[in-house]
Amino acid sequence: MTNSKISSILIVGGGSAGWLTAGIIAARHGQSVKISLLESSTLPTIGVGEGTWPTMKTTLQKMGISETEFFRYCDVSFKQGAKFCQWVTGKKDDFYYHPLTLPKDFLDINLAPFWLENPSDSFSNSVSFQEAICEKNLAPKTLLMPEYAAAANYAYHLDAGKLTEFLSQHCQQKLNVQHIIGTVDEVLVSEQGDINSVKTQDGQSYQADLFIDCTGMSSLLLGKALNTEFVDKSDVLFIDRAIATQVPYESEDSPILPYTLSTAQSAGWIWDIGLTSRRGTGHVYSSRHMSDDQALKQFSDYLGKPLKETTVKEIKIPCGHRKEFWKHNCVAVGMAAGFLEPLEASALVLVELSANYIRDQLPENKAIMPIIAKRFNQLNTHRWNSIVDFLKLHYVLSKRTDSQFWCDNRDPQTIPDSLQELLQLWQYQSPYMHDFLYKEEVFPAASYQYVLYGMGFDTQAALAMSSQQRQRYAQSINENKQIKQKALNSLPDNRTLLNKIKTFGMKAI
Amino acid sequence: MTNDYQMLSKTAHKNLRVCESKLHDLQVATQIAPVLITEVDRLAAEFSLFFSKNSQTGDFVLVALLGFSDNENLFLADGQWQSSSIPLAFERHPFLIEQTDGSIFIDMQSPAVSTTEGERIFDDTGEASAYLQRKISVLEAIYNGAEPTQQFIKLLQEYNLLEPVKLDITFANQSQQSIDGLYTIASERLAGLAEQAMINLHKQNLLQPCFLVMHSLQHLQALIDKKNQRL
Repeated sequence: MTNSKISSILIVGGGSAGWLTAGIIAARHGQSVKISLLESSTLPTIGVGEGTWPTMKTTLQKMGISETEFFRYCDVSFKQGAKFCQWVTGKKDDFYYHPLTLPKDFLDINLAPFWLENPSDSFSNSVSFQEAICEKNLAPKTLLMPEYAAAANYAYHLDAGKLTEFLSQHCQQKLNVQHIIGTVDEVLVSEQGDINSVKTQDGQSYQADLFIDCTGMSSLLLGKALNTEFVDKSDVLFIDRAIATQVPYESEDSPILPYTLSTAQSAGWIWDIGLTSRRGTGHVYSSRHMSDDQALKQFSDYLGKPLKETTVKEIKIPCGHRKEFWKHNCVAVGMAAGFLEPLEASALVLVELSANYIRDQLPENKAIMPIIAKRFNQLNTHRWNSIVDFLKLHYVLSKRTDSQFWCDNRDPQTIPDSLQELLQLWQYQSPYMHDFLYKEEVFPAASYQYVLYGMGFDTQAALAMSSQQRQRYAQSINENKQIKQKALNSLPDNRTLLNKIKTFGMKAI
Repeated sequence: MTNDYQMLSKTAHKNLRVCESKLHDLQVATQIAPVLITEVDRLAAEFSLFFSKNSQTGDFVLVALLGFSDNENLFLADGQWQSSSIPLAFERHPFLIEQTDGSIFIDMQSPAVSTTEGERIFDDTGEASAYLQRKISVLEAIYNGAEPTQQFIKLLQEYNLLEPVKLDITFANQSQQSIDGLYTIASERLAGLAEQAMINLHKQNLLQPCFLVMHSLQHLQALIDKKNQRL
């Protein structure tokens, strides 16, 4: 332990986690700290994670990226939330939305208890205008709005491979990140447990004060070299396999859905993400409940065409995370830290949150690093547990009985205590700000409301409400109706706007 | 309103007439009018000039603000302009000049165009009438001003000299209105502009238009007064 300054960072691994982390940290520290990224020229990146959270807007903006260039390079389209089909009853007309716009006036008033008294329309349609514009395939903004500005909150659908290239160029050209090509051969660890250096197959050796492990599922530094235990969550979340394929649009003017479509199957679900160039689709399922052949069959049925195994990419999902995320002078970001099914697009947002933390709390010197590591680990343990709870919630609230998969998911043995406790609480009060202890929760209380009430959970709110409160509620609901009408009249078709962004671009102001 | 622009022809259109008084419908129904850099001197004396975005392309255009709601032109009363000059964009109707090659078109759907009423556009010998010659000089001015206007706006963006302005207005009857989508010159950034950029603007005679555009904002109050008188 010394008081020496942290003057160099080596990021190992160049997928979206590696380059996002490089960009986020370098945008702040690129001039004062030497930031290098080592990546193998041979290892293919996994290329999942095609949906982001709205946080990506700020992340890119802070890196000084033009949103227009990003849209053009990475085949980006708008994502305004997720539409969950057949998750509750499994019937054809069964769907609900988890939009990215908060319920109307959410920071001032909790509309859920009022809605629960008289749920005439769906929850998300009553408290937000976003479901309505999604159902009409409208974009969340107009061409005249500046880059990153929105009429309705949005995130992105993107080509993850192209994102990596795009960020790599930006980091090297604008943010002073040094790019090293090399395949990790050996990680040298000191007696104290610190990583001294990383040796590559071409015989080079790279030292740094802080190592960031972005090596994906192999977790070469944190997992392998530092022997950090893996916490398996497959007893809670059963999905352990994915098959994915890319689907071309039928024609040049087929609609591009402005949301992620998630359709439940008998032992998993299918994602359907529209980029400007193609659709990205995949079936994730539990291999304990369904054979690979069955999974392929269901996937083919969904796509309406026979699939050959050769055109389908198979991915095994190791559900869980490392017990510690920051150990000695090594911190893992992305799949090197852990991986969960992509149900709520939590992968990239976790990369952003972790990299933001490292950027903001970059230790002044090595002596205080253990304190920061400890706090980082506490926060991340909480985050991973919250995500596991939130994903599990989607399965617990389902009323489907058509397969063992859905029944097993509701077995109390498979529901974490923390989630059981919340479900008990929510029987009597709806989730709101007080339920969440951290400032930067991955999923805000609003997300829980959208899922709970979208899936028909009943909260028996017993609190008496004043007439002023009721008036306030009626006002918010009315205003939402007006905003909805205005949005329906003024927002352009999603594909039309995306084409215009390609042709004309958005202005920075 | 639909348009049917046909390339102006001495033969096909030899009997056409234009009745200017029937053009006003077109002019009433607009809140902003495009302005050329060559007109800034003249128009900044009466109109508030801004930049706004073309709704089709998102590109910036220089405009005069004429009203506060979609179809409002407060400079018109009973079909008559209340200002001493008007933007060329209004004077061109019912003609149009193609910006690529300078060909002239006439809008056959315009209510002002007929074979019975108004000024002839070609005389008996088939040559352009005095009326058409006046129109052609307007069209030529538009043609010549378009490129320098785009250059001006391009340079302003390059030097990061545009900034959004939001108008929050309370009218005499206490009704309130916000107007988004307007931009003006960022005066502080202009004052702090690097020497080379400043010299460049000056040499291209683009510094004065910057100050005129900023100065023209003072006409806003007069426009609000016009609106108040009609409430």
